[in-house]
Amino acid sequence: MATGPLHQPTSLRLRRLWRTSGAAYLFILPTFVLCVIFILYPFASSFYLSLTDWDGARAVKNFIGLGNYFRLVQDRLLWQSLQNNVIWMVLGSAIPISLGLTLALLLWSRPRGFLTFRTLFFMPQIVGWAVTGIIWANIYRARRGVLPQLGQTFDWDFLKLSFLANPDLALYAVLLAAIWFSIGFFFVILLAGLQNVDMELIDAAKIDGANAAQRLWHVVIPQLSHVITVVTVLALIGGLKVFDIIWTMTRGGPGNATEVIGTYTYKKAFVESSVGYGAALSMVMALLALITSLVFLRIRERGQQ
Amino acid sequence: MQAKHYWQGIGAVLVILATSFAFAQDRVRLLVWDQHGEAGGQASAIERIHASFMAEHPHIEIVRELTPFEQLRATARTALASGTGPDVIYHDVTPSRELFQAGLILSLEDYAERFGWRDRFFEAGLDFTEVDGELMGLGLEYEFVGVFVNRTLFEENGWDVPQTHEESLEFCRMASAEGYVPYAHSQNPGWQNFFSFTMPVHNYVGADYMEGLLFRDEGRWDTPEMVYAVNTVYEEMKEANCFVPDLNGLDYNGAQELFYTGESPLFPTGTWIIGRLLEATADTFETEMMPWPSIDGRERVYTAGMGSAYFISASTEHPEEAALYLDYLFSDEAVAIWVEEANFIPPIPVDTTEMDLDPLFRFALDTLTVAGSGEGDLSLGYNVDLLVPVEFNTMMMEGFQAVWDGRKTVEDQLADLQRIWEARGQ
Repeated sequence: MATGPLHQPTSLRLRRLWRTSGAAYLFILPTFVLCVIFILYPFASSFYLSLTDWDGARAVKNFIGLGNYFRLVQDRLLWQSLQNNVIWMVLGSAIPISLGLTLALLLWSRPRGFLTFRTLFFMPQIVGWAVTGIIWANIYRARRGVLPQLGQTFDWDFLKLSFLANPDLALYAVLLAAIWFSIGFFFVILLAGLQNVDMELIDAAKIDGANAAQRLWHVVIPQLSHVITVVTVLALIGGLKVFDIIWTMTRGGPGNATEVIGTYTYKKAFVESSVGYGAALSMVMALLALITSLVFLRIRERGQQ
Repeated sequence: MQAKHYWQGIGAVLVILATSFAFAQDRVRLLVWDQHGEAGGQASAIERIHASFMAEHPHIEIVRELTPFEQLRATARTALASGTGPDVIYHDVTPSRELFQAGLILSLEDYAERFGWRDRFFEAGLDFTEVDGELMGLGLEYEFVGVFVNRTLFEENGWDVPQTHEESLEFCRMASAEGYVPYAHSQNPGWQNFFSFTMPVHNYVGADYMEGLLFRDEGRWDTPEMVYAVNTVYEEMKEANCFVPDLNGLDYNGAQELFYTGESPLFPTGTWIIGRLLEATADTFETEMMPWPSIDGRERVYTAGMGSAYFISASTEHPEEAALYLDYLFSDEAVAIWVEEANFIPPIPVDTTEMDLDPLFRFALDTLTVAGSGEGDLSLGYNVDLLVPVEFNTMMMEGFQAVWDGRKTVEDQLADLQRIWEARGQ
């Protein structure tokens, strides 16, 4: 008769598990409880709301099954918002990460004025998204904004009219403000990552005759790959969740030119009181964030293999 | 001896604590959420009113929390539904209707009877805060929309104030050629286009037609007459350079700045701005108000509405005290403070003989008093945004922005408004 661990009685196996991992489970427990209360429960509640026609005020929540999800598929504004999110994710990740990396590399050797530059680059992070939006809205503001005034002063036609009024440019104008805001964050993270780069490998590459670009591409970047992965995932998810800066600058306008899922969800849930539909939109946003993260991490893992 | 003093001291402290506790137990605490910020003297006015109310009713303590409109819109429903939110809320009338229909706002019918509100308030004023004839709140900001005119600038330049649409177009061409922005109008984020839609439409199809459309469902939003009226703004006035070319990039603050600095001689907006406008311009120029210019010789009307009102939460534990508080807010003493300090116009007769009011504000007050009391022959139109579903307002905001930049036709925009109008309540 077999007497291996697989055939031990359950109580014995639990006791053994407790002995080996009990302390670990105890340490995890508080975080797990917090996760259940503040993440899993609200998520489940949102999913339930997405199956109802609740308006946020009535006591009754009528269950309508997947009705909101069927409505989503036919919602032209959702697809337009998604398209804007994709543009935001691509440009809002690639540009600030590239610029952040460039700045980090320039300051890696701690040149004179390092602290000043680091503080300056990080400064926008201190003011936050909403204040950044207000600052840039004033820069772009028609007639009296900084850029239109510059256009008037130097007679530059392309600056005379507010970018926020142009449906073809408004999204990119807001995106520029967001890039200005986020460069500092990526810069600081990447600069910290650079502190862990093995200098001996770089010296070895130099001796082997590698030029600066080759050393960057073949020695530095591979060692930074984990940090780059993290900031890219953060930037992509940020691009899906973006709300504050658009809300403060354009509220999704003109027309719906800068509408993203975040602003559209807010309008539906809190302005038009379609909380059920808003919850369905937020489910889509959460699902897309999850898929994006998983896909990107899987691509990174394959690359490393 | 020392021990005796020690015990006497402890005894005295206990007596004070017990008395304070008993007093605190008797005192009712009313939590009030309002939107009265510092601008235009609103905060100081409400603080004065609260101080005098609490002096008169020492058993009631008012705890005031400033909650801006955006925040109210996002949190009012949850706060009222939770039962732990404010006892009294000062909120916009349009979103409050659905809160009332959901049972989150208390009906004021019994209190209206007890405090005689229906006799004291203008009927036209109470109409805005009624749902199916049932009173749900007391409006404070009775207001109308028109065009503010920088009279000083017109006189200095020897210009005539445009009274008709044709004169307006001519004026726009002339003033814009001289570097002015004729109308300080703005469309970012877009709610200001409620005015540039409502006023010309009223002037062309008439206040009676709009009344039928809004209250009796007679008529449509997408008729050729409506299209014509809207085109006077989005086609003809646009071509005549009446507004900044990048209208969708100008916000309301930017529009105010244009008017306050004399860069724009005309400013289409509502009487709620008078307090702030006078703060900014009283020393520099004189301002008047007029209705939107006449279109094809038809009658010009101001359009009126009720901006925000006081409501009582259905879940308050102190409805009696809350009603007492509301009643006090519209007492003669409080109304005098509202009018003089905050330039608010409550829908209630006001004795202004002893008041030192700016002529502009006095004009607005008199206009609403005459219209509200129904004693004169002055009739006002309706601020459409205060009477339509929220989706309709969203479409006005986004749709007219798209019309401005040529991505949507006026016909399509009005057809969308009609579609939303027909779908309301479904």
